[in-house]
Amino acid sequence: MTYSNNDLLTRRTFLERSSFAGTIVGLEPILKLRGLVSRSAGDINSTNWSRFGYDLCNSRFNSNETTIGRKNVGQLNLRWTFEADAPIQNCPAVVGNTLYFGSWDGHYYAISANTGQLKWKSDLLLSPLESGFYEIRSSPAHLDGKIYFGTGSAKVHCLNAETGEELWQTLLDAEPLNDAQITCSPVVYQDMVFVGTSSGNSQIACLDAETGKVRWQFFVVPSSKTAGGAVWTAPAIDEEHGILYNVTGSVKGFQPAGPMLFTESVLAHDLYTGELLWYYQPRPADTHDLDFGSHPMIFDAVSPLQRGAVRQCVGAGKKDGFYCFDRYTGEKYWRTMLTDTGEAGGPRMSSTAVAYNQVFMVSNANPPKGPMSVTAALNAYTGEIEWWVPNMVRIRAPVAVANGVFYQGLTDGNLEALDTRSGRQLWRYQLPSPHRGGFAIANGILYASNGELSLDGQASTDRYSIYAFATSGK
Amino acid sequence: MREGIVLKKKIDRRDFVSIAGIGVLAMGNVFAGLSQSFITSEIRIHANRLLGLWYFDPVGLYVKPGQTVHWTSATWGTSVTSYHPDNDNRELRIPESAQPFDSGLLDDDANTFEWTFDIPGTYDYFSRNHESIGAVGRIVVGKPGGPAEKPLGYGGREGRAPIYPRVREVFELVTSKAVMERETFVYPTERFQRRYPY
Repeated sequence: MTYSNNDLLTRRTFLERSSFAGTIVGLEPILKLRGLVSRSAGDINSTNWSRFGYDLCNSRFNSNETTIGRKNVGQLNLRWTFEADAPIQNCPAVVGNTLYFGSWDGHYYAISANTGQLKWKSDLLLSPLESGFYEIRSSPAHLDGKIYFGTGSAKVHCLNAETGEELWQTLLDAEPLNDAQITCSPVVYQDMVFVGTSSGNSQIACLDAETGKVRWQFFVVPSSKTAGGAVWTAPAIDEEHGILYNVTGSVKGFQPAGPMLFTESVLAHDLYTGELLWYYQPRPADTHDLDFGSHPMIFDAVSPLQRGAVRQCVGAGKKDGFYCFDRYTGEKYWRTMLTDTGEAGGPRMSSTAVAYNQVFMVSNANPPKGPMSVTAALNAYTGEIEWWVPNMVRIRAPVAVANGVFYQGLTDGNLEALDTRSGRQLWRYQLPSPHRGGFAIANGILYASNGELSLDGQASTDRYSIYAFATSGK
Repeated sequence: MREGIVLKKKIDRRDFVSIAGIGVLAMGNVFAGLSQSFITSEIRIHANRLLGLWYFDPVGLYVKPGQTVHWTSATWGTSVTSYHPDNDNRELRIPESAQPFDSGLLDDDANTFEWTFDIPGTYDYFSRNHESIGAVGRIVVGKPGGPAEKPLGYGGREGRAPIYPRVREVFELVTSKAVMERETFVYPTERFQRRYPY
């Protein structure tokens, strides 16, 4: 097994790549001059977007992107589209000149990142939903010539990235009553694949990247009877200390009564052994469905007041706000909520990112009233709001940041680019249907997709495509 | 043990409207002249996360002997399980001569359950996963009677499972007398709601 450079980061690069070095808005140019601009754990020498969270910190911040920025994002034009036969609800991985994604038509695709031309298409041979579609929400992770992803059938798949040939697949939950699925995007690190399931008996699993065999599993609830604790989204990894961070969803059953560990929690595991290091659960038997629905993010936050004060954080969005903790002790630093709390509210579907000492968060209103969602930049150290803007519709898709620009896609199909310093809108583009998959920004191109089932879960007449945007000079 | 249980694959909208419609009519005694075996009453199992509730609605229901009750779960993970020692050592809260019932886990593929009540008396039941937060129901068949009329928790002396405080709160409100008077005792969400933050 060979490891890529991105797996061998030093403490310095670890600190540099996250917000610690990207840091405060005003310092960004200075830090660039000093060579302290953050580096990606994804790919040291390129702007590849090789996994859901971009880097192992799960920042969804491409700190190496230099082509599209505040000054020219307004000139983004559609460069190509690639049409699939069904909705696209995962964030593509972009490695070199290849873009990987899955579609609810039951296939995984590799296309040219520059032209959109098909390279290969792999039939995953899944069982269809009642609608006739195949549930694929998990985003691909690329490492060492392989791509890894999960499916609605609770299987983890590994394909040859060159050919699309399946190398292995592992079924993580075979109990039909559990209704198990994988919406979580795997993270591949060294020779391990980390992924979670959403099930009556949800779990966090570590698989061997070569064979797909399970190395360790952590079940969120004691059994299917207790139920719940879905691991909806991608884990983050602290390489320096070998810690895996996950977040979990709400409890679905309350038997036995009392604390229902470890639902609606942030969990820190030893990534090699699966030993639980710490956890934080706001409420032990919550009946309000307040999932952690946004990915855990690792960042070092600089105090706006106290010179030299840095907090080593892990933070994640829950339906009752964004929570920020000491990532080694689990001590809570702050929580910020922008809208009413409820099962449809707050930051959902990984609509958070971290960059420039700011946590970017989209919070949906619950119940819907007035502006349907709010986008804000929070100070990463204090949780205080630095700016916020209202959105007239909801956002149910991962957001992203690159080169001073924040990207968000709305449920009315609008894609928007905002200035990370102020929230000022710099660009927008109308898709034919809602954006659900999330953005990837790589090598000077912005990628997005569209796809939503109609309200009754049936097919619509929409076209579902990957969209690639570039500035005219690119 | 599962005799009499009918588990249907997801009922479609037409079925549901027809069942619900018949249920409403049955409650109004419009079908009084028809054979009891044709009469079905509908109970929905809800989860209202905004209010922090899992509940049966109606929570109390009066039926005549021979009548069939049909439950539909709107959420994953519920059950319709009678208070009976066979069901995880719960105290007996259905007539001694009645058969215990247990739907098993109701999920997205099998979310309905039916039971025909032939023996008069009071029947208490619960959802296995949600009993501790008060998801229980009471059906009075013909007239109240049997062990369900004993004080809650009487089975403790026989080594039966304890009664949760929330269950006690619900049954103290949904008495057999109140069920007889109302025939359909709508679940009082205002009474048991727990709004965030709590």
